[in-house]
Amino acid sequence: MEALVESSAAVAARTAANPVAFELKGVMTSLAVLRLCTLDLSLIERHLRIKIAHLPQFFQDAPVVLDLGALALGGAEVTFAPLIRLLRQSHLIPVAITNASEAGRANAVAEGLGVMPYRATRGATRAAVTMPRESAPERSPGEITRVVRAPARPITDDMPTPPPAPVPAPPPRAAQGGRPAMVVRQPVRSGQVVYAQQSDLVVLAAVNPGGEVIADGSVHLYGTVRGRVIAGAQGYAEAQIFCQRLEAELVGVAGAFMRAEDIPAKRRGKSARISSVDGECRIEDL
Amino acid sequence: MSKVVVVASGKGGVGKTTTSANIAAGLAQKGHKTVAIDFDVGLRNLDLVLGCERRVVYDFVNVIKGEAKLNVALIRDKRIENLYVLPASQTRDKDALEPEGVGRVLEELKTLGFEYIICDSPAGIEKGAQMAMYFADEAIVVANPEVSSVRDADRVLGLLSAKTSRAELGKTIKSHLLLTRYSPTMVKKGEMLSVSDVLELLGIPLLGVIPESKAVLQSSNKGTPAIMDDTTDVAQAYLDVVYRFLGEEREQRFIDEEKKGIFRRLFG
Repeated sequence: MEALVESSAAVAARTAANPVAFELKGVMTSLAVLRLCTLDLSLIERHLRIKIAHLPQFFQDAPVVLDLGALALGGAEVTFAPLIRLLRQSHLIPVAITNASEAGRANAVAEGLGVMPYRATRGATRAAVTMPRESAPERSPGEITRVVRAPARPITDDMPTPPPAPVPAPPPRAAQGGRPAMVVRQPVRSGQVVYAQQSDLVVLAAVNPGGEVIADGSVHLYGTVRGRVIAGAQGYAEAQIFCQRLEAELVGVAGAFMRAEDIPAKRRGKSARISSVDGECRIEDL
Repeated sequence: MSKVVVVASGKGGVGKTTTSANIAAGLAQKGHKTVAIDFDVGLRNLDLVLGCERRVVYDFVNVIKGEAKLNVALIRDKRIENLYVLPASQTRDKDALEPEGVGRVLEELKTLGFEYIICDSPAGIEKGAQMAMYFADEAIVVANPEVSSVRDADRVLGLLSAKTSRAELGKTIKSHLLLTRYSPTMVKKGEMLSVSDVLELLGIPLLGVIPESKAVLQSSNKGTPAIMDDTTDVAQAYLDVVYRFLGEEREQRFIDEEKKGIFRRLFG
């Protein structure tokens, strides 16, 4: 990356001489990784629909990386065209593959997908994945049709000097990186969505049924919450939900969700603290 | 000083048109020059409830399109002085309502000296409803005491705070709640949401409670707003609403079950 970095003075001097066509920058960003456990398109579609229904605006036009590591032969058998079409129909934009065999990679490149070096450890991958519960194949055997566990290959080795990889970055340390919490004083009404990007969210009024509050960090709710609450929307596992009166339709922390139906009756109508423990929502006293 | 007031609910059938007609009639009875505009293009109703359907020649869309002059399209009520109706078009579709045209007509009504411009919104949250609320200074949100109606009212309140001209200028729209078709008996049995349930959820001031009553249906069919026959509880309730809307203090009625004396309990 250093080679690409120039001092701003140098840039200015050069700009004066000739116009610049572009600047090349290495940006660290976190991307959703879709770890495929099956090639059954209808199953993928069904599960996608459920996931997206939880957080539609989060997945709208989101770029995704396809992790082929869990597939037989490192994805050599994947026919990408229908898979890409399916993802596009779900408003996801597949941009690259990772963790693929050579054959799988060739197929992907032929279909216009990029190749990302597989570098992340399991923990880091999980952090960037927005749907961690389904990501580990051994936990959901029902979804696997044909799995031969190919060893995860570090394909970095045989790559022609890759550009600095936007490796799945650690999730945003919300509210610690300097961005102050977003504060909402008005009730969040049915149909309204409040999203605190890269920060905590504080709601002083109620969140009504059909309203949604989402934060990349934690969510603090001082009014009754009857709508949906998502903390750690980008996968930040330390995020939590703090609320004075829990009557939510749905709560989610770092990819783990709980519907109203799953919330124990004794927790309803009371104050609560909700966190994600081992990929599951846990509700405790505030 | 003119005030544009939208009567909205999101959900259909909760009593928007009845409320628009009665509040407009009540304000006019109190001496304020008032016009009720039907924004429900294609489903013209307000003229029926106000009993002027046989006098409709031109409509709101004609005026917007410049096909008729405003003072020609306005229908003057024969019974109540100061009350005017601008009916909806029954043949056009909602796309005929475009913001510039609607805004121009509202401005013209203001210059004609109308103190209150009551915009009867269609159900839903689509274009017609959005146009009805866009220029509003105040809103009367009508809800029935049941969950779907309350949720829709909540949605409408959200739109009022986002998709209106005042909201775009960073100002708020004063919103009042009107709870219609209320039955204290059913509330007591737990079959209906109570006033306090609804207020807790919506968090806006209560303009009034209109009791469930046959008088509403009868008056709609007759084309005479219920408020004109002040012997009924509905008329009393709407009168209270009009007074409160004009800033007078009136104690809330029709919230609790009528206390029956021993004779009425025995005989009926």
